[in-house]
Amino acid sequence: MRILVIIPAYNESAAIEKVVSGLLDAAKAFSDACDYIVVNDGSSDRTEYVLDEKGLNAITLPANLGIGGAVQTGYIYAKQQGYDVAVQLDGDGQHLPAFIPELIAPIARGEADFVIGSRFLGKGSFRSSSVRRCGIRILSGVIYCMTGRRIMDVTSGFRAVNRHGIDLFSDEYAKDYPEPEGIVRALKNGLSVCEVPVSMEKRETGESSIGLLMSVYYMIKVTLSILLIGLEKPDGKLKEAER
Amino acid sequence: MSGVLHAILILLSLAFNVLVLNMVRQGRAELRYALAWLGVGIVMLLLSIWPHLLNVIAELMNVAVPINAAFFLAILFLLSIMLGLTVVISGHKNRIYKLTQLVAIQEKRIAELEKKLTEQPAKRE
Repeated sequence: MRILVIIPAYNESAAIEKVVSGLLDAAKAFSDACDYIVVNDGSSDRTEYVLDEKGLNAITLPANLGIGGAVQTGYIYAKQQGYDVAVQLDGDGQHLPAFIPELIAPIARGEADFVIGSRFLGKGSFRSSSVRRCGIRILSGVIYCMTGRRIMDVTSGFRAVNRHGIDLFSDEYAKDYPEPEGIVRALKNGLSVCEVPVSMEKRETGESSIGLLMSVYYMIKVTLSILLIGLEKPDGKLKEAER
Repeated sequence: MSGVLHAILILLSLAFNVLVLNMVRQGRAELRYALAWLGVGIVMLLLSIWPHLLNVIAELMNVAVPINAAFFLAILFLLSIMLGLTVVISGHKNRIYKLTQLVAIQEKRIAELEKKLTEQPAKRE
C-alpha cells in the first residue's frame, strides 16, 4: 500500500522542516512505503527557499490558490503517481503524524474510503472558542440533515482517503474552506466515511485560515455550499456503483 | 427636443458604436462579449434618431412616463450582462486553478528530469 502524505504550506518557512522531519520519524514506525509532498501555495515568505535548501519533496504553485487549490494539487499528484492512500497533514504542525496509522487503519481494512481525524471523540482536550465549537456543531447538523450521517469534526483537515477519494478530490474540490464540503461530496458520491479520535497541537506558527471577521462569511458560504451539493443529483460515479 | 440636443445624442450613439467596434478591431474586446454592447449601441442610435420610438415602447409596456420604461429596460439589460460576466469570470477562475496546479506539477517533473540528466553523464565517465 503506497501512501502519500500531502502537506499544504502557505508561509510556513518556520515550521515546515520540523513538520516534515516529524513525519519521516513517525513514518519509520508504520510504513516503508510512505512518501510525502509539500504543496507550497505560492508563499510570499521564504518557504520555497527553505524547501529547496533542505531538498524537501515539494511542488510550488506559481500563484496563491488557497488551501483548497493547494490540497487538490496534492490529490492530482497522488493520482498521477498512482498512490493507494493520500493523507492530508497541515504544514503548521498542528496535526500529529503519530496518528497517521490510526487514520489509515480503516482504509487498510477496507472499512472506509475516507477517514477523518476527529478532535471530538475523546482523545486529548480540544481547546477552542465556544463560538468556533458552536459553528462546527451547526455545520455538523446541516451535514446530518443533508446526508443522514453524523460527522463530529467537520472542519478537521487531518484526513485520509483511498483511491476512490483521490479520484473524487482530484476531480472536484472546493476552493476555500473545503473541509465540510469534501465530506458532503464524498458521502454524495457513495464513499464510506468514518471518524477516528486524534488529538491536535495548538498551531505553532502561522495564522488560522479563518479570522474573526470571516467567520460569519465562512458559516454562510459553507452552509450554502453544503446545501447545494446536497441537492445536486448524484453524479456518474454513484450511478455506476448502483448498477 | 431641440435640434442641437438631437444632434448631440445621435453623435454620442455613433461614437459609442465606433468605440466598441474599434475595441473589437484592435483585439481589446472579444466580439463574443462586445456583441451585447453593439446591440445596445444600435438601440441607442435608433432611439436618438427617432426619439418617438420610446413613446411607442412605453405605451406597449403600459408605462406612463417613457423615460421610466427606458430605465427599466436598461437596468434589466445591465443586470443580465453582469450575471453573464460572473459566469465568465467563474469559468476563468476554474481554468486558471487547473492550469496553475498542472504547471506546478510539470515544473516539478521537469526539475526532476533535469537533475537525472545532469547526474547520468557523470556516472558514465
